[in-house]
Amino acid sequence: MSSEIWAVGGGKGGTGKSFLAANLGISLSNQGKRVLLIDADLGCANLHTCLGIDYPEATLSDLLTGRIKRIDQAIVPTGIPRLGLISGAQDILEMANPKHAQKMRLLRQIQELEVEYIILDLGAGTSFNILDFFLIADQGILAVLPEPTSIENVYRFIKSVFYRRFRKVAREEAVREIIARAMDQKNEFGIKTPYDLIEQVGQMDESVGEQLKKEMYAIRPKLVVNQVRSKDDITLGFSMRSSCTKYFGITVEYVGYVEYDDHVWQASKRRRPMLTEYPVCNSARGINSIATHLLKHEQLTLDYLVDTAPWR
Amino acid sequence: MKPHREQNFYEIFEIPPDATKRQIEQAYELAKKTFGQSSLAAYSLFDSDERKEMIRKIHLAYETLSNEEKRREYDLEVMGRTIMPPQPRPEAERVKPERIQPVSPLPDRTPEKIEPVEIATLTGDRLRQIRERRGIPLQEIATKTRINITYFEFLERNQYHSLPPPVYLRSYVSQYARLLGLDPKSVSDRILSLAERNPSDAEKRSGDVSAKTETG
Repeated sequence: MSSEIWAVGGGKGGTGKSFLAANLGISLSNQGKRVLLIDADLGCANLHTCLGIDYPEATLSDLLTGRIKRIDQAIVPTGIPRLGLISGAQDILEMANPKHAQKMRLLRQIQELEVEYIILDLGAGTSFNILDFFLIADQGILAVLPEPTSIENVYRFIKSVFYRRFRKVAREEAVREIIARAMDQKNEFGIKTPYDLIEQVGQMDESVGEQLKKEMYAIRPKLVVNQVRSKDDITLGFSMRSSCTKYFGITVEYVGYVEYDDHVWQASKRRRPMLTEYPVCNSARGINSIATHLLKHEQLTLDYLVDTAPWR
Repeated sequence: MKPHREQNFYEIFEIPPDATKRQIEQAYELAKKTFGQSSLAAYSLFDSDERKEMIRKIHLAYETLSNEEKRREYDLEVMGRTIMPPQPRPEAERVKPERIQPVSPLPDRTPEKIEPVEIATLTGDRLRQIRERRGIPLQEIATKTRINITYFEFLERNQYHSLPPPVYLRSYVSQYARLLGLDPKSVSDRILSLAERNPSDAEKRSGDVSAKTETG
């Protein structure tokens, strides 16, 4: 049996990636699923803190340096039934940039683990490591705050994910060159959107153009708006979904939002996960609803804004 | 999918060609917000001119699709056929069986078989039992109804004397009953009669008003 992999990314730091990963993991385990959380933030791992446990002895770092042989030796219990954790590496110099072969071996081992769900907590930024982890996931989740900088970074992240994927399927040097240049908004080809890029590439090589198109449709990021304080903040998720559809030509799914809630802050100060400390608060409801949507492959509909959303 | 510059009105609104009036209204409201000048979602992907052009098309799309006559013409001209939803369908639009229940903490919880509830002997704490059996946190009811959770706590502890006046109480209890899948009218009738009948007895039974309650 292979496990389903969820990855939580989103570009900017402080948007609640670790918070989401930890609490989605707890929500799934509460629903009877066997879950493994992996802190894939190589260099700045602190998912263990979100779960209220000390930095474990065995981590991904030990696996990459060969101190332990198998990934399951790094799994530590979290005190929550059915939920395990593999902590990331905290040593920046050593671990933040594993060699490609190391990373591939790690990904293979992750995919062979015997659990139902694996949740990867990705670090901030758009480094190749992060993009590759995001791309192997069955469900790539993007955490965004309702503020300009965070939104810009999520778009940047989506764009980077595309171009990373495109580069992987494009073998020809000339095509790869164009893809690399297209990342620069002011490129001399006038390529602004993935559409433009695909068109440009299609003129050079029709079959590669078709393949890029297929790749583009295959990427379906899931959007979570964190720390919402108003109905407008909830609406933002729908607007971002719509903007992405029009700009990138892709399907973004809006799987839910988490209300801004002092319970999160109180739990965090005690180094306890919100969902175990305050299982019925507003943000807990948001997390549970997001988990359910992801499990059922559903998303929010516009009806929700009119009928059910708070602040309506 | 195609570039937004080439999209037809339905694609602009991201709705199917047989979209209902309600879907068109919703899509229009969202599109205005999404591409308006103050929108956070669009400015970093579309420049100011592109957004203005988009807004112009959004208004045009709405003008066309919200008018039956114009929509029929547009469907014939651009889509090559008439695809209006069957008219009229007044109530059908509001009830969509496939609609998801986004606020449910646990899946498969809400639409279940409802066991017979004996209205004649119904009390507040019996309501609590029913609610707990359905796995609905009290906080969820409070949030959904936007009603102070304290009132529901009083209700579930049979502290009828602490409940608000009948005119409010009827509405509160009805909303509560509806979320539990019970008949709002008969439940609120029963609770109102309890509140009217013997408030003092209820007071004696209930104990400490300020005690913390389990809400989940």
